[in-house]
Amino acid sequence: MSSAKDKISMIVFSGTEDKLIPVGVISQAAAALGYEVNIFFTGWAMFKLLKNPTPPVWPKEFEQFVPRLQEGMARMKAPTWLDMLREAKKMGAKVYVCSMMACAAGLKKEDFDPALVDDIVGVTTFLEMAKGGQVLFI
Amino acid sequence: MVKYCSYEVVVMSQGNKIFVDARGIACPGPITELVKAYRNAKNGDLIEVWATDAGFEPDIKAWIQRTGNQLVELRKDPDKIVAVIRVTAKK
Repeated sequence: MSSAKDKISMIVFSGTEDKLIPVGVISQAAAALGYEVNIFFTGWAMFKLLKNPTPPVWPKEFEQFVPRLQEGMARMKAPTWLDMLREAKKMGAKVYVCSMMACAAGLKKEDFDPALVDDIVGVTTFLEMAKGGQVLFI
Repeated sequence: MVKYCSYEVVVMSQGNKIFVDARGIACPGPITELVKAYRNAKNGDLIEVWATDAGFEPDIKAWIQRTGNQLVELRKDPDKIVAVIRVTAKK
């Protein structure tokens, strides 16, 4: 049975599409199920939330599978991971950017898409939010 | 993504029957669309979901277990999976 304590928090570091797709899927599903969802973007993933995001990148070692996967996603009319994240946000998921990484990259809150990013926070805030729930590092 | 999903509400003598056509939508779309319909439903309503995603059958069972609603029917047609849920767990 559902309980008020269900909570999932994700630290999203990788900036490649293969790892961002599950971020979208898990966020949307968890938000739909009524979980509290906190997503903390840092590292390379942070650049995907900019007003001018970096173009999609796939890992070199799996390059040969990429066209097949992309064609399959198109055939299934699967939404993009960003659309899934937006859907999750509509259902209450919160998206944060790591203040340390943002600072290191010379990025300010106004550089990020306000429709995607709720706030720039430090890791202390994230750890407090995540406390007692499930945590994924992606 | 919602444009691929259609809803229809039929008013019955006791509660409503809500159809959710989530065929052609990939995971986690069907459960998301079910939840959207569920949010507007009342105890006693029936929700019938049509889906083609292969994960829908175990996922609907997990959702039922999680929410405590009643699974009236779970059927595999040649072209789709049909789940009929009676809403019983709304507070």
